[in-house]
Amino acid sequence: MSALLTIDDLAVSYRARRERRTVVHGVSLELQRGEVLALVGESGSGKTTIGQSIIGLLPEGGRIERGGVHLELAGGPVDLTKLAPRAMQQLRGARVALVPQDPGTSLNPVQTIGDSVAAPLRIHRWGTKEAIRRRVLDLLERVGLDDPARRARQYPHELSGGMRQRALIAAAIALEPDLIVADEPTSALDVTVQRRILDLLADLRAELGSSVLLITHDLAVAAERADDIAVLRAGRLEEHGAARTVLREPQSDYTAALLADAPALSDASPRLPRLAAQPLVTIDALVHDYGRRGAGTGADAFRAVDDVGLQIAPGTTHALVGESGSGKTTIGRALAGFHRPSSGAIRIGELDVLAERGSRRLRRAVQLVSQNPFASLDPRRTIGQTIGEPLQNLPLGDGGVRDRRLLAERVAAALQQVALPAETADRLPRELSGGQRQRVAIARALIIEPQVVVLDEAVSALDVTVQSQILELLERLQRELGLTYLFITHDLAVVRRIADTVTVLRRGRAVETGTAQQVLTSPRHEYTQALLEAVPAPDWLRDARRGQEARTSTGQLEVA
Amino acid sequence: MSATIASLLPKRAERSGRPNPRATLVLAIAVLAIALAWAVVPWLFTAQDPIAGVALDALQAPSAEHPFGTDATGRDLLARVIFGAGNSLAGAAIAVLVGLVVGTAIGVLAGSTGGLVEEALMRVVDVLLAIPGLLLSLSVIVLLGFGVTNAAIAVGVTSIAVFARLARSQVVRVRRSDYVEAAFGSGGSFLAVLRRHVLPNSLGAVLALAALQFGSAILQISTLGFLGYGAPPPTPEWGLLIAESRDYVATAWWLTTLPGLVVAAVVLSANRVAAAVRGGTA
Repeated sequence: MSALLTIDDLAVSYRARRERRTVVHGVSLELQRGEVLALVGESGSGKTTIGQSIIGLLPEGGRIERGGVHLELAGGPVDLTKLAPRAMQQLRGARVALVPQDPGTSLNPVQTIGDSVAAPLRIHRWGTKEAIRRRVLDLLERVGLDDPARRARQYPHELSGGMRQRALIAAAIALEPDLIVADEPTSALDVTVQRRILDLLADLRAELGSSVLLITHDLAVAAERADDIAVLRAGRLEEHGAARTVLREPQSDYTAALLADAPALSDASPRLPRLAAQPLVTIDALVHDYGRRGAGTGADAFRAVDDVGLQIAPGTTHALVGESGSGKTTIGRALAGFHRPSSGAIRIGELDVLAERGSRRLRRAVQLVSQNPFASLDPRRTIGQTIGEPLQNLPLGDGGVRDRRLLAERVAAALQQVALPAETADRLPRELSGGQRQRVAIARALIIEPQVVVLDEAVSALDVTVQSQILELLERLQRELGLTYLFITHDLAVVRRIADTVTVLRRGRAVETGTAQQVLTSPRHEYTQALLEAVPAPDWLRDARRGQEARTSTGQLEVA
Repeated sequence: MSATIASLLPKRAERSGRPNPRATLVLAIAVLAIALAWAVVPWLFTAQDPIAGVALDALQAPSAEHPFGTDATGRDLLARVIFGAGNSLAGAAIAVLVGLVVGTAIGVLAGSTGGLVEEALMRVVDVLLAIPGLLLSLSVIVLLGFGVTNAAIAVGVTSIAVFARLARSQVVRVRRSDYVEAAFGSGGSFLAVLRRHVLPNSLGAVLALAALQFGSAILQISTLGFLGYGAPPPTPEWGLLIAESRDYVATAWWLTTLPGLVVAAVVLSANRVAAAVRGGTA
């Protein structure tokens, strides 16, 4: 029996600024009926473009240069790239379905969930109105939404991210397609939700006999869920084969490096607990209410942080772990003095953070590095101006610098500190990659020599190899400068690498606090256990990686 | 055979069928440059007198001697259009400047302070928007008195609300961005952050609107001139030229058509340049 999907020497180009750039250079793949093929690669590797070519939805300016995508249907093979738009429309949703990446923006906000799920059924004239209505309820139940009749009447904003992704999956499987293209279906979701969604996809595949093309940047997800893995890099196929073969004995250096850098697969033991010193940062009984100020018990008030306390010793890293909405960012921003909590106390050394909020003394004590390196740099100012700005803000007597030459020297030193070439100072943010921008954001935070740095998901938006390099940089800076980090993350795997102590948050409450070693190896609270279990990392892969360790070391690819 | 078919089929051009955007931009800039030169050194472009006419030559159709023809008192129309450029363009510039400066100041103040100040300012702006533009400029002229400058200020007042709303929305967008927060986080004062980050990142769209408003200001000033609220006759001014000629539409088409085409060309060119400015700053 021939493969369900055969991609044959596919090349795709985009037109940008009046020139054509090829982003996929002749990729050939096969996907058998009922199997899962994972397309793995970093951002810009062309994995999403391949997915879009299959469903015939390349964005404007995209063009298939050569090659074909053959889908084996009941009536014989069809080349999807040569199909007329109308014929493609007949297939899309019926035989080939898409589960999009971001459940937050993929549902029409003015349509009920029921209408969204019914859309493919209506478009393909599946049956009468009544039959479709019943089918929608069946589907919603099938994807595990409670009370389908009520959910069908609700609007997207009334559902959580995981529930929305379930609704999107319901729409995708409505017509029992032969092929489901899942483009990063869980990247925007919390780790426990991710596990449930991936389980659901696996169940549905077994039940419907559909094949799944799983597009992901996460090698661990691919390892856990795919039969075959194709590793892409810069639009070229690096490696392709059975998942276990590829990951146990990677043929290409690139796959080996990806494997080495994937934090979820790391089995390095957490940092050992150090001798307890006098804590530098003390957060005590912190409470933060959103909604009506003063009337904390009002109906629309929401307690984001509920009586959280923690201590951080100087020169160590404390990780705040939790899913979205757990209050971790609220705590970090309170420590950085960006907002005033409802009650509680925060001290850095002798400094009362709440009393000094907005003062320059506080600015010199604590700095914040935010998640998105694409939003945190002013697009119109050069890197040198951005990094030097904090020095211009400080008063002259208190570490401020106004002299141009002195400023340039300090900026050059800061760039060197974060391992960026000195010429970077004259560049604009748009000329830099995500990893380079995050280095700039770190340099800006460090130039006024703070004692404490709050890192709010500072590596979450980066590819694994870049992430690994930034973590390495943070570790080195901590060693050299004696920095104290509050590291906010949803990723337990990163915690394992960088944290000394950990607080696990759930719905604003600290459910577990302790040393990294204790929390990660013998968690006491069941929520911590659930979080740890949800991290995708099959044991066989850890073993495989252990074998790799001897040959490759991390971060040997080019500097981010 | 297949070669014949291929040659018969239309070639799939890489570019769309629209004219080269760069060419239209160059043309637009050229039109504006000529209009500007007319305004600054009108006597270089015509030897005729725009004010004094030769009664014998009244109402002559366009000819080599009078390319735009002559009006009822025998004045050369082209000379009047050329000498009118100064009044019309200066008026438009004043109008845009009034709207830009006052409107942007209100918008930036409202957007960056927020709270009660914002509420109060934006409600005033809402009131301005609620009054029809022509009525508003007529009221301002009644208060200030007739004249080219006053008409321009009156036109400028009508665009304050548009500038204020745009500037405020841009400032609010930029103010919420991560890099503004980072700037405050590194000890930046309110004014320093406003100057370094908020203004440069929010004024691109406002400047594009200014270029766009330049075109509509010429039209509005011409409208006021047409209604008799602008420059008094016999001052050559584009709106007034068209107004004075409307009695002769049936017999001397060139008196309304040719100045009208000049106004249209300048307004279109201003819009084309505005689109380019917006594209460049987005």
